[in-house]
Amino acid sequence: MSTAYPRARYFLGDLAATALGSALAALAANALIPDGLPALAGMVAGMLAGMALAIPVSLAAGQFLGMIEPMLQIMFGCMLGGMAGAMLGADAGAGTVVSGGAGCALATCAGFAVADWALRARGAE
Amino acid sequence: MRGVRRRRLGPARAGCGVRPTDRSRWNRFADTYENVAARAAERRWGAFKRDLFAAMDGRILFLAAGTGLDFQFFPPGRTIVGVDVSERMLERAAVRARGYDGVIALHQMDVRRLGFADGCFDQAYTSCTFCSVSDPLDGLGQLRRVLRPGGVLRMFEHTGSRWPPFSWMLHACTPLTRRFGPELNRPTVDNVRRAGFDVRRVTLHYLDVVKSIEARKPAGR
Repeated sequence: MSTAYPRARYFLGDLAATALGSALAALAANALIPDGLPALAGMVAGMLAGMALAIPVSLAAGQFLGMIEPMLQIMFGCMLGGMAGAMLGADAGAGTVVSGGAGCALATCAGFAVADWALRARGAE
Repeated sequence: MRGVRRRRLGPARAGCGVRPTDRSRWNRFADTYENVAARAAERRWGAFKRDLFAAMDGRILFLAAGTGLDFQFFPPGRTIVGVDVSERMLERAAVRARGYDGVIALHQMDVRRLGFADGCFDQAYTSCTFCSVSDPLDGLGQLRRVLRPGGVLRMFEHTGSRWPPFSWMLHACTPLTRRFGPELNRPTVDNVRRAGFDVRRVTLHYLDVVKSIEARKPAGR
């Protein structure tokens, strides 16, 4: 069995789980974090909200996808999604917020795929 | 020689103590371990593990057998000694051991107090073990002791990362994951070196986090 097989097989699952977590984090941060905070405070609050949400999403996704790989991506995606949700402001529509969160997930998974390839190509410690 | 042999754990020795919490923690976790943390990971990592275990030969020690999920990846026809700290995990492993096309003898034992003679194994294998062993250097030192000079240690492990932001995330998650078992930020490759092994090869499977490690006990030591 090729060792490339699990990587390709699980990419879409990881992406879907990360998109779900990231979109939820964006929605939660958008709803809970008030407008008018200093930009940095809003980003930090959004990031923390995303991290909190990432834990249950990671545990749920882990039942189907394994723990380590999806957890790292979901954690990062939720942090970005929470930051995006906090920065979009209360007047942004739900579709915009969800799209922003899903975009964060896409960027996260693409970034992880590139980092994975680069680190493995670079070789071991 | 199948089934579980229970070895009573004696009083803790200084620097190599058996912490009752390790054993009781994995006993408590035995019923839920596969569904919560392991079954999906085994599917994902199966190909890598099969590659690692394909080299099994001679007198083989398999550390932290758990519930025996990894037995499906063992090549047939080998005689393997498996150990685990949890008797409840081993009860499940014994069922799987009976289905293996070879011999798997299971013993209840803590990695930090292996009850085997010096140099009595040719190879030792671990699978997601040293994320959870409380004193990894003690455990690796015991593995080095029971391997013959020139013996091989092969490990499939997840470790910390050397690269931010992955290392930051793994450090951030570890206080939580430590409560139910694994630490995500362990420098396992460095620990293997510090325990006196020559690290021959490290194969990365995911980032620099999920990896196979091949090390050798130096001859004559």
